[in-house]
Amino acid sequence: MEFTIDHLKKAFGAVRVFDDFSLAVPSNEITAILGPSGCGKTTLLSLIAGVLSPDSGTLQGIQGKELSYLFQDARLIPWKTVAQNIAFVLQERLPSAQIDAHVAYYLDQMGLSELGSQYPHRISGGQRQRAAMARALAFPSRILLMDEPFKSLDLGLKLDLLASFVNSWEKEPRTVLLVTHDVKEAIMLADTIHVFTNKPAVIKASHRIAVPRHQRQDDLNLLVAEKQIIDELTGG
Amino acid sequence: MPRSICRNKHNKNNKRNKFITVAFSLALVFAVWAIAARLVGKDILLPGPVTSFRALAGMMRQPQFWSNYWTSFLRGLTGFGIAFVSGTFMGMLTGLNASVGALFRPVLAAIRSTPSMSFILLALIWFRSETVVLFVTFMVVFPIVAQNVAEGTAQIDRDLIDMAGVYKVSSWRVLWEIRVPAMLPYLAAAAATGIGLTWKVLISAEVLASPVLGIGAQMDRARVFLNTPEVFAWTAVVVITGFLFDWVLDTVVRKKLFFWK
Repeated sequence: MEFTIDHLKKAFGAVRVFDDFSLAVPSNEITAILGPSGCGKTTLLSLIAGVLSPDSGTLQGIQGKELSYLFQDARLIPWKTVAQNIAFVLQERLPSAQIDAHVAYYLDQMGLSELGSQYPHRISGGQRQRAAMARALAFPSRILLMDEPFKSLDLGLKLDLLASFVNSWEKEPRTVLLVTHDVKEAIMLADTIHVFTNKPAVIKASHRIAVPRHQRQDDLNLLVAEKQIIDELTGG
Repeated sequence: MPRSICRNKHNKNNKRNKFITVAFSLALVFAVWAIAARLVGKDILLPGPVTSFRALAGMMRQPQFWSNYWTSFLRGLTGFGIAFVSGTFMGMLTGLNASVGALFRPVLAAIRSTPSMSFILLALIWFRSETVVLFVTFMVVFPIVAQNVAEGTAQIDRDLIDMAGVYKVSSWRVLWEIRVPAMLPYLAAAAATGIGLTWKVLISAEVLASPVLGIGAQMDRARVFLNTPEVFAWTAVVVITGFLFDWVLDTVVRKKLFFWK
């Protein structure tokens, strides 16, 4: 396992988001979390990333490890170019002589080679999200947290970015925890899918997807899995 | 037609329209001023634009004009500079630390609400004329800069700070590369308001403190000798200086530094 969460408790005032919640996330796999809106998916990522602190419980295997985080919005610094935004997170991690080449490589991976010198307000929403993904992948981390990064994109852009992400991840696998509300997206990407209940969240069901990613589009069995997950989600 | 050509043409049209509007508005002011002066018919009460600008041209030919102008100009910039630097520091402190903010916000609000004439009168009692002008400029500009910077610091995009935190970017770089640039628009707004107020307060303080050199002192002297065209001429000098600073702040600071806004 890359990291585990044991007996986690977190409340905001009277609202208990997690009450004795546990989860194990395997190394170099993509684990997806599906759940109803507001069930605590983003809170979980914030707790793992250290943006929030748990009330009690332990997170083992995270300490000392570098994390990348792909947010719902791109969170690019508006006065830095796309390339400078990626370099911004690398300056304390890589020797200065390597940064330019490293940034150029990930810009290329995300199809942004031509846009490195552009400012975020000059590129489209989809391109900004690609730039954020390039930043997350360029950061030398073992773990990547993804919080519905494809949510605001239209279908064409979403499929494009999903394909770029899978290509890049297959070249350099790392442990990914993906939060999404899109069952199809989880099925296309994940090795394991956990379905959460409403607050306080617990894992209601888990699914292992053994089909290779490039065959998932055409696998009819996955339609059955999709239907089952949707039933689990809508069943409350 | 390519978009960039369209945009250039659009920008040129915008500039031309802006120029026409400014020229029209100036012409209107001068026309009303000239008609009013004609109706009053006495230069001692209301000199017209031609008389006033003739007085200005006469003043500009004398070497004392420039000594008076530069003395006031440097006085204004010094007072503004001290207020701007200390106001920025205080604003960052109150914006970053809630307790410091709670402590100083009422003090800043009180200073801001105090009439500038109160500062001038008190300073006249406490200090010599040179210091009066600096003190008054400082007391008027400092709270405005501090409040603007505090607001800018407090309203920073938390998402960017969280992003930098997740990627473990050092606090020093977060300060220099996120917090300070995010605060610059507020700083520029404070500079624009502050410098405009500086010229107004400076002249009032100079009129009352009567330093040896300075625009305000010369205006007061012109008043004593009932030389109204000269009062108008000095006023025009202050207005033109204010316009120049506005133009620099607008073109250089706002357009070049905040291209991403």
